[in-house]
Amino acid sequence: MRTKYDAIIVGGGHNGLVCAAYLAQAGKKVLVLEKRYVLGGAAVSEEVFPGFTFSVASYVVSLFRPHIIRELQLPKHGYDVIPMDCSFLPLPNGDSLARWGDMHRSRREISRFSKKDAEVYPEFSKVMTHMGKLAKEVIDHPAPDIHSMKPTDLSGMLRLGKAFKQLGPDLLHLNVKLITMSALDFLDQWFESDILKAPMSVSGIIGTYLGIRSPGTAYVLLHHYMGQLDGAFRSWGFSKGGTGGISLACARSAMSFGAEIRTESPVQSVIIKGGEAKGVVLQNGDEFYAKTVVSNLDPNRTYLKLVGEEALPEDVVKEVKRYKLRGSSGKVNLALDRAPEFSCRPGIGDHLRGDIAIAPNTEYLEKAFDQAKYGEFSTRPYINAVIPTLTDPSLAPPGKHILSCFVQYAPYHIKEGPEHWPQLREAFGDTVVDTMAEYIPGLKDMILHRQVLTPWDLEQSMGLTEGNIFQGELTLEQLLFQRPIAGYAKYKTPIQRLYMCGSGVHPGGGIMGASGELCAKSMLHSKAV
Amino acid sequence: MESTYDRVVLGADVNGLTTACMLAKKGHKVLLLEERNHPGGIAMGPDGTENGLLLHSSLLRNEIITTLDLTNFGLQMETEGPLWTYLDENGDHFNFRSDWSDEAQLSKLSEHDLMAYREYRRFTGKLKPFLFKIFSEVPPDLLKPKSGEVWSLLKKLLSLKGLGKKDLNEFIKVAPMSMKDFLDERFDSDALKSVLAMQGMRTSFSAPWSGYAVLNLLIWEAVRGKSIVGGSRFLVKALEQAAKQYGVKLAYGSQVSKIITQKGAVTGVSILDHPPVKTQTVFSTLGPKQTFFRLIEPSVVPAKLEYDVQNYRSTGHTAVLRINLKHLPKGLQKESVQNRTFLASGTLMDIEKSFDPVKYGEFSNRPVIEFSFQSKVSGQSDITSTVMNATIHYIPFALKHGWSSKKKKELFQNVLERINSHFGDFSGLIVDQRLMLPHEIETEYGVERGHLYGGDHAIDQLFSRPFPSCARYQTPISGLWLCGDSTFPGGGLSCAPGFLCAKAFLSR
Repeated sequence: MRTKYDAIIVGGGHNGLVCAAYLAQAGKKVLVLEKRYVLGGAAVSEEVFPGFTFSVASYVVSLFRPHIIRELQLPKHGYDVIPMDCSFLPLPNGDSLARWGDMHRSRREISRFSKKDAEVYPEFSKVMTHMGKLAKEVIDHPAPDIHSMKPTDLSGMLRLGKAFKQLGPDLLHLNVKLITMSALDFLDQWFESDILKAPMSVSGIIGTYLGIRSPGTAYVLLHHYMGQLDGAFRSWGFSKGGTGGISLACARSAMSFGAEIRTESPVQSVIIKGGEAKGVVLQNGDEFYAKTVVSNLDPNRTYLKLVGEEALPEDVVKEVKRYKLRGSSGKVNLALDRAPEFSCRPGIGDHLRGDIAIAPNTEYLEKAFDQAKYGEFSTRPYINAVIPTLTDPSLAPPGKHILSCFVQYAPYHIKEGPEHWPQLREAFGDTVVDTMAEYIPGLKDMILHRQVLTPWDLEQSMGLTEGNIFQGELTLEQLLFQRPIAGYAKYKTPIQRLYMCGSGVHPGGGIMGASGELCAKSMLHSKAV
Repeated sequence: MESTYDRVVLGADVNGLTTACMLAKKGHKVLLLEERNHPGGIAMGPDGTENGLLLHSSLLRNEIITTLDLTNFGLQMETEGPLWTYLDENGDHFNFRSDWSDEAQLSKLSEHDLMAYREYRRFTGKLKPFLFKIFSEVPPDLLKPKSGEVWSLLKKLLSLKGLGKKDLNEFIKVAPMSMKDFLDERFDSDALKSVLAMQGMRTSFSAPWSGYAVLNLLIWEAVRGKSIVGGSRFLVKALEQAAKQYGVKLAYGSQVSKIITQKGAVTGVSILDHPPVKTQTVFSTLGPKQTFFRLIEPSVVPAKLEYDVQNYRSTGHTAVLRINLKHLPKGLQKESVQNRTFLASGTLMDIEKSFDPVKYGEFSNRPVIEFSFQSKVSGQSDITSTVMNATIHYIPFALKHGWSSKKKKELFQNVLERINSHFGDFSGLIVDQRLMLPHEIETEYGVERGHLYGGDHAIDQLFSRPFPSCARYQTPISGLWLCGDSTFPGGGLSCAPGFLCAKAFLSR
């Protein structure tokens, strides 16, 4: 029991596991402590109903860094991501739009709604992919601290400056627009068809408590063009076995390098002596000691629960409390008796093997947000649905299927107070099923089981404070050297030897693995471990 | 009017007058053409005797007053900043002086708000020198920076470091925030929150939930000053006097139909019912759409420029209401309404709810209203009449199913209802009224898309205003310059765009 580790990682989410793997690979003695019986955090697969394995929370992958896959030899450990080829938009009037990996095919579809948009579409993709490469420059390195005169920070800033300069004046201005404009305003400058703009604009709002007309959302559009699968830009994919498959691959990789992983080991607090982290205490009272402690939890939990206000400087506590989490989405996972068919495009075709967006027009989307602003869940929500069983039949019994719906907006802070979410859970689930049933005739009769997760549930079950799927809003004031708080953005905390590796630190959000990797690398680099 | 001028300025709004004065003062032969029969643009009311559409005139820079010697031409400044009165929903009201000099007025605030407010004052005061400097100079050329400019930009950035780590972090953190997040973090008082929020939102298509509005509030805090005695029409009068004195040829009632170009360079302007005037340089106070799409031959406008003009966001969402009153509403005296603006908005959430419909081309039945009163002495008799000027947010430029007189009436009733709830006897005081919708402002005042600030002060349109290729007043068309509110640093009767344009031109 008294073995001393080099590093204890609190939380076995995918970032914690990536961090563990890198540290173990460098020969460190690592222990991962996970609260739940299953690994992965929000990137988790669970057999919620007999025979049905859901990607309970996070459901698609695109941003996982290719060099991490390589360096941690993840394919050897079961990492297998199958590209999604289509983005499908069913429309209430019986029409539909499918955008494909094949640009010509997409243009043909788009030209039914606007010839001009069909022409502009490839150009838009090209420009965005170009800008996405710049963003890659940002997410693949720790964010330089603007106050610091240290060579690493200066060279980091210089590198960014150079990358920006290479854009040239026009793209630079476009970049300013991208960072500051709303997703819809930005798309308005390119396209005329609302039917195209609606499904495109939603990439700007996923996981945020903002609407498609809120300034600052255009930037998130880039995430759609930053994804890299097998080195190919802008593609999304399904993980074999659900998103938990990625976490398991990371865990196996970590274990292959000698890391020790314990589930059902909830950590109560970090042991701090003389301003230094010495280890952790579990809820059952067990103590583990280590040279360093790394928290995979969000900043709120790490600072205010694991460490505690009393051990922190006053201004840090103040900043942590300002850090905005405000979850805005929920999840409804349905186990179906058979494959769902859309009335607007019958048949079980390739159009269902990607993501399906319920985003019929921009007014619909903005009105969904209006409701959320005033503390209600959207009665006409934006839904991003997938049918993973069409790609990976092993997730359900033969012939059965899963329809997994990501739903926005479901604000954590409902006007009744978040603790009232359990009473609204079924009504929320009904709203989602009703909405989907408008497009899928007979859906209600196909449902064998349903799992409804409100932001309250995400907080309770997965420890995501306020149900925020990115461990904190991805708004400019909470990014880069300000994620989570200025001065402690580079994986360090005010407590010596306590580090952070979750989505709440740069670059944050999505199944990227980057926070975990950069944390481990910066610990190794500074010889902290 | 002669047949040749060194420089021709289009539009005698405060910027056009400022540019003309600056150039004439340097010995250029300047012609100033104005479509209406009097100067002032939106700073002057319909008949040339009343204040204009904007309620405030507190952004005028001292540097411009002294450079053009405006005090000598009759300009007088108030000794204090404008007074704000927030009308509470329960009939109470709350006063703030916008330079917040008078702490006694803040006594209604809770202890917590007062402390937070003092901290806010300290913080904005610290930022002021830096932001003021940025907004008082010709913006650097980001397309082809010269070494001197890069150095001065670096110096400015380094001066930011002088803020100290804590305030600099705070600035970077709050600038992109929404008003709601920023103000809720600090204050409890709805009155304080709404009055401050309006200062940062008025110039763009934004509401309390919209990001990046805080930057505009911080800029406003840095550049605001004292008001002009009597209001904006006295600024116009002083500028007009100055222009005459400096030898500017003022031609009112002249409608420019075309800017004549040859081989992509300006050679003159065509004027309706008048022989064309030759010139090598034209300064346009008009917005980019009017300048490049109406006045310039389409073949001369490069495709990239056309794209930028098309995408410049300048749709107004403010209607203007002018009411002639029998006398001031009960409880208000002539002295007490001077240099004072009333705000009927409700809380931040109420403002947001007033904003929601405009996104769908509709308007709220509880619009946000800012208004002020002015006394007017009519020509012959000595009878003073009272005029109420109001700006009403958020009103769609294009109503979903088109504007009709019925819809306009409905809007007027909504406005009246809200004012009546604060001044019970108000309806009975009305002699006559005129409500002007954004598209009517466009027609009557020539303001592009009825935007009272020359286009949204959104970040991408603020520092490279209106867009990079025209950001330093000079346009890609040789001899054509922009000097209106659609150029840096934007609208609000500061005269700074006209002033900086002339400076950029003179130092070219």
